[in-house]
Amino acid sequence: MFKPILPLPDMQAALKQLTPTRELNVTILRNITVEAVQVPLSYFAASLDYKLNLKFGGLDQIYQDLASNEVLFSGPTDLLWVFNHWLALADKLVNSFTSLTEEEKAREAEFILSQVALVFDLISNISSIKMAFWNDFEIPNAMAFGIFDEDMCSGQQAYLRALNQRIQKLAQAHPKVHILQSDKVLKAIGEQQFFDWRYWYRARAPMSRQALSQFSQYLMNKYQAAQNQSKKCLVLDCDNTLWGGVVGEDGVSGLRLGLQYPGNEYRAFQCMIKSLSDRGVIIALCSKNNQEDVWQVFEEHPDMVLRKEHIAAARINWQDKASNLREIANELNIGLDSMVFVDDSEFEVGLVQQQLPQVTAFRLDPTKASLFASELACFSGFDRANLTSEDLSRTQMYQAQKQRQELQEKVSPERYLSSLNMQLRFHSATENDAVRLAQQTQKTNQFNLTCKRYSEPELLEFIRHEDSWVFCLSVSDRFGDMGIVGCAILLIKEQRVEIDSLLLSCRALGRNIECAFLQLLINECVTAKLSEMVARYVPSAKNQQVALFYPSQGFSADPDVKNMYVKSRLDYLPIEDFFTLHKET
Amino acid sequence: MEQQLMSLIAQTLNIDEHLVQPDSSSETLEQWDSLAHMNIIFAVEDTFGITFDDEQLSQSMSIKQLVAIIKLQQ
Repeated sequence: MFKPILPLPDMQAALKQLTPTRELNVTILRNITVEAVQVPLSYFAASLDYKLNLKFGGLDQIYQDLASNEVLFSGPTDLLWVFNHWLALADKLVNSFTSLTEEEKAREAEFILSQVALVFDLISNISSIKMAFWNDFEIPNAMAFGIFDEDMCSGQQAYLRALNQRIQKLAQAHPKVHILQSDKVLKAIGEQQFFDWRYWYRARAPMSRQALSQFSQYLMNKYQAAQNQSKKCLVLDCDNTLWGGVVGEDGVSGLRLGLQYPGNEYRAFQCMIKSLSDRGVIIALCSKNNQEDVWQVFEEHPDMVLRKEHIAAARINWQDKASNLREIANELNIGLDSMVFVDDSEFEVGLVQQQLPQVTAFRLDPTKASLFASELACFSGFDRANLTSEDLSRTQMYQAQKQRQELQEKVSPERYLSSLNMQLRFHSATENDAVRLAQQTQKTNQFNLTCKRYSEPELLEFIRHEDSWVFCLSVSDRFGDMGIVGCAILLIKEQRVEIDSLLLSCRALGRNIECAFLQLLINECVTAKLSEMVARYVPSAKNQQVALFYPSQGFSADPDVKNMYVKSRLDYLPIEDFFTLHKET
Repeated sequence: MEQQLMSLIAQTLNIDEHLVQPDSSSETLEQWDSLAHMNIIFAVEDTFGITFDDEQLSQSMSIKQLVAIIKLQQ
């Protein structure tokens, strides 16, 4: 997760070379001096294409700033970062911990927790703050009772850990608040480097530049992951990547792969890939090889961890890898920018970097196979907040998708659709759906009429509010359950209903589900005696395919406003008979 | 070394190199405030592989003083 830190001058030089295109408003609230975070945070933000606008709250003014600093929170705050360092929290806990009675310690803990709870409540109440991160307390080696502190349940270490745990519990009740585990930074750089005591006493700045750099890296990685802009698909080469050796030359039995050295290096790499697959990352192969040779390894090698069923798509041929990657992206219906390509060949990686800069391509050095697993583990591009049960079964869903495509190639479209035995489950969203639906608004690009991105709290608002209706559509068919694939947000204004958002996962496209979904929404409106529906198409880079969706569904274009559509006669109609409807509204 | 130090300081302060002269200090350069000074210390430590001790931290606010400290430690 943590890459080594560049020296400050190099970081500044690299920062100058970057020209980020997106704005990121960050506000830091703190009880310590952390101004030196400016350069590293700008740098890590810029490397994710964010131009940083950084503001600082007053020293030791965390509560006051949240409660009454209107200037600080007048505009939107994409990210609020709270440094509430234990060294500056309570002098008693730092300098006279050994002389405190248990009662005094407990009283102090309750006081701290009540303050933290207040901070979290304030954060949740300020709607212009989109997301907040809280650094928990790091646990250094040197503690109040010396080397036996760790054995004592009343030791300083146990005390800080208990505080961390209780604060984490508090944070769970506040969807906007996330924790940064300071010990991760401390571990990554070591205690000697973490603190800069010179500046603690001089300027109330306990953290070194290195610590602030790693915190910045950690924060930006976690922020990025929380935006659901994480990578979706890992495309792998085979020879000297999944196994040691070349199957076409060494044969299945001559490959390095197994429980013993050197095969265990490749086995560990495969285990890491398998766990990414379990976490919902799609795995694909792109290899210059004979197909039969590669599948023979998958089927016959006793130590293969990856199996054919983990592979959602494969291009095993002698075509160039850039074309193959394009084809894989097409087949899986995902953007090139959500793909990560891994190969041992400098040539292939170079070619992909040059021809498909959207793809994240990196090379594994075959002379250092012992590093493969840990390099993949350190790659944070696949990290995601709020893993849902659907993520966990995504590979199965893509497998089922593949079978669907194969069947599609065999029969005519209508017969194909009715042979699918599609079950639609249409229901009003409940609060439990908010995480999944928010994720969907963030991730769906192709069939998304307005491309409005919502956070979990924003969706909760829609779900709870009377004048907004949120509907979900789940689909299953003979190949498997796709889970929730569609989401619609309707805004009711007297007799009129406006479609604020209408979106459908790409894996559900091409089977008339979108028409059925819209009809089901119309039917709801008819039942509620609403008379007119207005809808809007907001063009984005990826949603051209829905530009004419509303006119194709009997909406008329508003002559005055471009991309605005109206349906002024709403009829209750059944949906096509190859769907079986289960309605729960 | 003095030349290297001057361009390092120009880079850290994000100003043109010719503005930093051998007799520059926090008095002559308005960008050289206390936060910038912290960054200068970090940049010098990273670049020259030295560590400022407590006393040096508070006095080294000019090119001349920085040069003296680097020479002392190298």
